[in-house]
Amino acid sequence: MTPLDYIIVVGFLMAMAIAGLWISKLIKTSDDFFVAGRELTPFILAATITASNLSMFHIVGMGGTAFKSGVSIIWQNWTGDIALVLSGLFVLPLMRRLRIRSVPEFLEMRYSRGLRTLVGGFWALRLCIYLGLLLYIAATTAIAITGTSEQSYFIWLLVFSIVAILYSAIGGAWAVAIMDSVQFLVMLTGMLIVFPIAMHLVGGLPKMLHDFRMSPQADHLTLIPQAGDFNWLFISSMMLLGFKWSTIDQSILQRAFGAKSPRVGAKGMIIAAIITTPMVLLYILPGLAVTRLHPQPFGPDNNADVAIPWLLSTQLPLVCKGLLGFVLCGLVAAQVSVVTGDINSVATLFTSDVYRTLKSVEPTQRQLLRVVRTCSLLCGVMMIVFAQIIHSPRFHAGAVNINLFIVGLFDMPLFVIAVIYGLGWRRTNWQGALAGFLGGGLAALSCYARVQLDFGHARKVAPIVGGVAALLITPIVSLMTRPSDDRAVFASMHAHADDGDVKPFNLIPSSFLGKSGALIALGGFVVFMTGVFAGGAGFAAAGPLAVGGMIAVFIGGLVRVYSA
Amino acid sequence: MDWMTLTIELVGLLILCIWIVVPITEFKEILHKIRPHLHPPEDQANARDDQE
Repeated sequence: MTPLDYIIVVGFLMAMAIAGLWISKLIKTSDDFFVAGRELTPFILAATITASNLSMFHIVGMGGTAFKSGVSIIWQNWTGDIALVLSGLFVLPLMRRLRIRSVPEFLEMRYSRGLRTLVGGFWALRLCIYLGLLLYIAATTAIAITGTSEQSYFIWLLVFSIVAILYSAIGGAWAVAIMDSVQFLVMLTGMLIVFPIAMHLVGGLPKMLHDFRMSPQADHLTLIPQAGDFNWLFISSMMLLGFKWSTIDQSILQRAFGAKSPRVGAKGMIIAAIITTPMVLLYILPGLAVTRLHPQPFGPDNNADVAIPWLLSTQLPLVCKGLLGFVLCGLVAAQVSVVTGDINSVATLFTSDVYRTLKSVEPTQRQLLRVVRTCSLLCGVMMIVFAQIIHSPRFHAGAVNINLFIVGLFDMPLFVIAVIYGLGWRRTNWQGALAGFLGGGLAALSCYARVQLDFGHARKVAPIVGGVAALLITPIVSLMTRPSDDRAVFASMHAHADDGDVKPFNLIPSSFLGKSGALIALGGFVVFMTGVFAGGAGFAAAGPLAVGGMIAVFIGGLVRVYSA
Repeated sequence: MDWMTLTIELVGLLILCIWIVVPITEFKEILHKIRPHLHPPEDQANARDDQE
């Protein structure tokens, strides 16, 4: 890296910190901090959801995986986009209508305050660990690109976290929303610079595809492979986790809860899904290009995470001075926007779901703002601590496994009690939900005990076991205990008029066009899953079939959300 | 530049252009809406001073 590159990156970081301070003037109430005063419009929402969805973890990690294993890793993102559309149509509007700030808040409305405190506290801790992982990846990528020594790891941690803490602690959801939009632009510009350079280096995209077909690595181009690490089974699991992510993930839902109305929330989620889909190609295809440009493995274990940093640090300085610095701003923007979004989520979860529920007297707006800012700072400290732990030699090999371990434990049980039974079966009570959440989590944990900490195997089984256990335990315990009174919650969810919207957004559309749109979206999903299973059976047309189904989901979603 | 790269690049540029124009307009509207919140009218500010 040249001094000019450093000046560009430092200037960008300083500009973001100053912008955070300016935005803090907008914060007057805790609703401003948590959900941007519920004033966000569809495109701003889409930008903030997209920015929350694309981090350095995706650009460096997924691009690197494409280099090592082929193009099918693209489904990790595309299944999330399909789930985002279906969640926007069928789940988010119900939750947004309740004017909640988090999923645990919904759990209190639907079940009990104790369950809200338990899940809120657990979720905040889980996000802190994930933030530590993001910081770890950012710092190690910075070391790889700048060529600085391993000793500079802590300094890189501080650089990334100070900026993120500064403007998310002060500016809250407004800062996250406005800066996400700015960072989205910088990130997209960076990707638009790297993509044509990478394609030029391999002699153009058609030539690269032709060379792959003629090489022993022809299977790198199979969209839905029959075998391998990222095969049809992996895509099916990703689809399941995509539903979980798009319906209960705090960082996604909190952005959507900032919408002006349920319909605006749904529009934001669908636009975000459609925008993200072609953008994924901008970092998956450069990853594939590295396979042609650097046929030798990176190190003895062929570390895939080094592929994109290698492309940037070796090729960009040859094109133009300062270009590496600008593209790094895009990567930093991607990382900081995700980190700040998650810090805001942790602060919301702790203040709204733990602090508030434990206080006997309702705190004032000023007290809430003080607590939420202190939480943001504490979360920053915790993520630095976790990033240090992950970096230590004892945990170094298991960074991604640690994250998958935590995700695999309680995420699916929470999805079952909040979405499947919470929205779908009125007879479910708090006793059933609590038993389902804890029982599902413990059942998932038992998988790790049974396979004697073989993470690779257990992480495939644990989410399914946890989800099935929660599916069985919740109704059994609910039927054995007294039913709860939840009429008010269900009446609010199915209200006939929405605030901030002339036409209410009903689950079942009232117009012919709306009904057609919803049916096209659902039909598209069926076609997509048929394509995935056809890939498992080895059909050559499986990939195009699945992509066609995905496009139908998008078209149906758009038609539905823009009609009555 | 080949047609495939060009198509993907143009789609990306289109998203970029939409993202520059639309959010600026939308943020302007939101800022206009909450501006009184940031700068209260003079008579309200004076009333607050009198109370103090």
